[in-house]
Amino acid sequence: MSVLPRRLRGRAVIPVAGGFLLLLILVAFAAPLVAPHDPTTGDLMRPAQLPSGQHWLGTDSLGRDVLSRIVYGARVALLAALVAVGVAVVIGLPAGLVLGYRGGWADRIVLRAAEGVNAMPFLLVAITFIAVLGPGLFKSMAVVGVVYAVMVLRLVRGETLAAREELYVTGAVVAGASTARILWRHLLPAVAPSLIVLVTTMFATSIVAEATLSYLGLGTQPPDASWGNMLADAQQTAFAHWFPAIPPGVAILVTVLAFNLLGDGLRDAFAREATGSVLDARPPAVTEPDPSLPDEPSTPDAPDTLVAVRGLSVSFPAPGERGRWVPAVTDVSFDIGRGEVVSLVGESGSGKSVTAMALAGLVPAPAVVEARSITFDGRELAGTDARTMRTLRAGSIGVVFQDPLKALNPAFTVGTQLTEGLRVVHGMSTQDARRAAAEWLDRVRIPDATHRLRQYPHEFSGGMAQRVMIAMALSAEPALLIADEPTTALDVTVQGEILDLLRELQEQTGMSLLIITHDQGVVADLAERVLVMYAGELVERGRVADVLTGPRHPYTAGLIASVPRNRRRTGPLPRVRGVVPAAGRWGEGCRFHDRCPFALPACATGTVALHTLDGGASRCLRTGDDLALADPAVWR
Amino acid sequence: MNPPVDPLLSVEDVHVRFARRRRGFWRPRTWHTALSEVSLTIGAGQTVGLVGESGSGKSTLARVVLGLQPRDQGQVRLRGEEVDLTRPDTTRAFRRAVQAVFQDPYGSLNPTMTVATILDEPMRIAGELSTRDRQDRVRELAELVGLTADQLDRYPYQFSGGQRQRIAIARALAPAPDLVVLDEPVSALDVSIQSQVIDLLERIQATTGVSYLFIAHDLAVVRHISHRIAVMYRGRIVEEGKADQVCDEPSHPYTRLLLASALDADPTTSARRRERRRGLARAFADEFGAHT
Amino acid sequence: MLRVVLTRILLVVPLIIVVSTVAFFLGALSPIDPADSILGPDPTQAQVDAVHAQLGLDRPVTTQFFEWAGGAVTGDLGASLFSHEPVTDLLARALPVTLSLTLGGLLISLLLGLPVGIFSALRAGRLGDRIATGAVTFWQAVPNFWLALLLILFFAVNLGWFPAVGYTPISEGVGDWLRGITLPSLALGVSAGAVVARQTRSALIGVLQQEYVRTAMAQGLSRRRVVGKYALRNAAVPVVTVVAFEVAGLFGGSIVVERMFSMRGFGTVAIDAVLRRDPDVVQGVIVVAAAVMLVVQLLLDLSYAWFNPKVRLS
Repeated sequence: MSVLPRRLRGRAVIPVAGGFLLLLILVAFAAPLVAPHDPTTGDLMRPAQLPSGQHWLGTDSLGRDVLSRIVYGARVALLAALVAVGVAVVIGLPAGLVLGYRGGWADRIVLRAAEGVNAMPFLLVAITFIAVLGPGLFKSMAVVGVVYAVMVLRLVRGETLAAREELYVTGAVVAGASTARILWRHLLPAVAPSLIVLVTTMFATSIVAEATLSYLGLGTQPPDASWGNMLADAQQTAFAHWFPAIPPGVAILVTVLAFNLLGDGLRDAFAREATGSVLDARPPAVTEPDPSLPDEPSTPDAPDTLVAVRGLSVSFPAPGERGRWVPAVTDVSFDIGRGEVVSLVGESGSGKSVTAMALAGLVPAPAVVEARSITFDGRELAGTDARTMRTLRAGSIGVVFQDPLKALNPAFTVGTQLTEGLRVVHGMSTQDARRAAAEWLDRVRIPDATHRLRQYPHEFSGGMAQRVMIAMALSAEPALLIADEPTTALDVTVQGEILDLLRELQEQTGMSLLIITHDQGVVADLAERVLVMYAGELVERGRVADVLTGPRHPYTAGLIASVPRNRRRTGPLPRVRGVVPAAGRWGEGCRFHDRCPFALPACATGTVALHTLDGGASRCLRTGDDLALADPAVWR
Repeated sequence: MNPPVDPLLSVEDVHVRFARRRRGFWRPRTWHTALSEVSLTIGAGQTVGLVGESGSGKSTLARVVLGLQPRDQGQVRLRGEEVDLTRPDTTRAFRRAVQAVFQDPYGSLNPTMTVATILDEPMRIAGELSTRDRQDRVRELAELVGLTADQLDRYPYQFSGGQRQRIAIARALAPAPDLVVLDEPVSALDVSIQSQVIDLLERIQATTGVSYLFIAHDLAVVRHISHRIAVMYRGRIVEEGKADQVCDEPSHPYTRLLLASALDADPTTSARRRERRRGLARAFADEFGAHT
Repeated sequence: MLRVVLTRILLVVPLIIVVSTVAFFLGALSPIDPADSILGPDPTQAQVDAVHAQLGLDRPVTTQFFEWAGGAVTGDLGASLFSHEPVTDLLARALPVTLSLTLGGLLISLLLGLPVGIFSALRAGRLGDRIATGAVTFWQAVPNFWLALLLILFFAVNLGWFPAVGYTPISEGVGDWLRGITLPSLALGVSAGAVVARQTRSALIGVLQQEYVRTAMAQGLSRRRVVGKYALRNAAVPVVTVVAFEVAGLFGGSIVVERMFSMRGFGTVAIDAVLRRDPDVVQGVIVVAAAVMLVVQLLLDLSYAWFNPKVRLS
């Protein structure tokens, strides 16, 4: 709950709408003091007058002061809403919590009934019950409350059901917490945010409901003033005197608007909506060389270069802070040769995936991608437009993602998705595309291809779905395949098969392969060269055989040392001290210095350049010093 | 290395099956067997590693041990006595004796509670200590897992994944349990953080004598912390033995395949390992049918 | 697929029975005595008893129920106590009015809500979205019966483009029918359209965050194709859900709006019956409304199966 004030900052709508409603409550409470006239007795000699100094909002057909009736109407509206919402919460909240937590047949029956009630026209349900109870404001609003209770129940039950699966609730059960404790301490706080939002908007709908019922003669009875029956009165004479129809309508409108705005503001405060999407991914922009940065060698590190990246940076807007940008990747340069298998390795937050996605133009907006230069097959991409990036993805770059079951669209058959690119982008006929798709499924060794094309993604196992993804990425015969953690979501025994398949297809097609992974084993198994990233920058690059057996950056060495190996254990496990810094919180100096056992005082200041070495490079001040990087004792 | 130990908790011949969703209103119900003839013993002060892939039943077994999963057959015994969670007195003792740490360090801490409240809750539930004693113990636990005193008033979202997992471990230890079930406790963590957490767990075991049931899909990780290892496949324990023995001389074809499937960060041996893996996968498929 | 349809249709039958039963007993429990309306003020007990005997209200409630239910099965829902017209005839005249308004309102809400929702989602967080969302919030707050009044005053009374009151059956000319239902449909559809717009916006924004959208982009498909062919269909399920709820809301909302336009639809019949206590009419209204809503639910379930293949298979 203490997170709230931080989130409320910078949301003007909450204080404005809330302030108005407070004022309204105050006015309603003090109606006898505020209202200039008696709301129920009118001056029959002065009916249907336009606004004047004496009657600011004029008089109605019976000569009653409209402003006074609006003020008293506010009282009725708010009280009525309070009754309805109160009844709804008192019944719906506990019932929803208990049903959601306990489940079982009672839950199923109540839920069916609730769905039935909610599927009925709300007004008709209310009118049916009013038929039993008879008309009258509080009876009517209690009925409205019962119908709303069903909505509260459904929401609370749903949220409880979701929260019940949270591990912290399981943890509380394991610790022996009583049901009451779990409901009160763990589930109620989880349900509260969406309940508060629903309750706020329910005040709005209650006010409309009160006005509607009073308009129909089922709620507030004349001569008492309600915004609804004021409208009914005004309607009688509206053709002659239209003005009295305006104030009650505006009163309802403004009040409902205030409640809705408050609800929206609260909802945004509780759950920040992700608005950026990959649809609007921006192509890389050009940056001028930064003179403050050390001059970086721009000689290619791959023989026959397909991709050359120079000075790539990516920044995201800081969540909740307008105008502040957080760097995710800074000044990354590398090459990928034709037919080469390169691995980009790093831990979470290293920026490895962002780097690869930037290459394909798939970093979701509003992130900003910049580079001094990115060439692909001789074409400059820095400063290009979104259309060029799309053409590139359509033909030259294929992408395989981490979780194949999320990466495939659940609403379309595998065949539709696999043939889409072939048909739309490459202009094949539907039949040709289906034949090509079936051939590709054969090539990735999915048996019974023509039948599988008609199936949906959820009918595939993880390994099989990843094969479909690979077929989809390769069907346009790209020059570069980017595989982003292609085996991380799969079982160990399936992992090898997918890596085998990638290797085999790479050899057959001669494409370049950029494989992003956190697993040194994948690097060793598949790649020729490796790029190591830490905290948004490249810290080491070189041939896999060199880097994995003789790392030159302390981070690489620590990472390799801490990989668990299937060997008989001797002594404590090697590890790297400290924690991976959060994006953008990298501080001065070498970004690894506070975790590094070899750090010198100089490591904490300035920026560290990438030192080129034979066949590779290392971003370490102590490059060239004779460090015992591989000594296990250093990493204990 | 493994002196004879008293059994702390034992699982005896447990069967669990789940009803599948009916394919149609008129079709008969079909069942999925999650656990079949599963028996396992965890000794006092011992770590038993439980290895298997997704769908092998290892998480269901964890839920059985934690008393969260009803069994169709079989028993769970704590110190030789049958655990009956319908009786309040045995439930109370069992809930204090067996705690858990889960895989996801982001979902396992209540986001609306401070760290101090989170650590205090299990002791408050156990109801054995005074408020003052509990406060002392919270500070003690924080120190044990490497949290500073001022971090106690913070909320979970202010910590990194590795730190949260330390908090989760501290919470599990709060009521001084005899057994902690660790369900993939390091799988979601970065490699450089994993060994920190494993090291912490080992130090705690050395000082408190707590037992662990350590569940993971990575045999290499399990090997380093476990005294004994059980390998699960399709709801059964297919192999069980001393950690080094299971890893060095696996007897079941599945264990062999699992070991061969784990990648090694040594590029010089990868081609040889690959051949070995393919051979074992073929042999396994011939005997047990296609794996995927 | 056919099996799913048959199962759902079979499930509707018991629901209708339950709703009818509840409707009958609610009517029977009502404290309002029809004798009061028939006899006027201060009747003698003998007069009341005579009326009760005449109406059959002196018999046990269960007997009354079985008699009513027996009639209902054969399509006889009884008759109004006041006009003595058969309930089925009464409702057969009223239902087209309400259905016209409901469908008109639905059409308006979709025409208004879908484009605005899609526009907003595609510009989420930017100026266009903020303006559109602001407009939606505003028009959602306009009460439909007040809007009806303003529309009458402006378009009917002032400009004379549409009739201010009354309903022309479609059989008497499509043009007149359309002119008659335009204003009430607008009054109904506008705030419902706001709900559709909101739901469309949030559903589409949610879908655009999904990884499969990135996959579609990675294939080099155009923005238009990714949204038009894929994302909209993924976003359809929550939108269809809210539309189904809106149909119920529009059906209920037409009760007020038809009164505003002096149309004798379902709502007017219902309210008159409630205020005078005309039990057979009240029960008839509930049973027929429930049947309409169950048909809507059935259509909803079927469209889920269409949009979400997982449902179709299980």
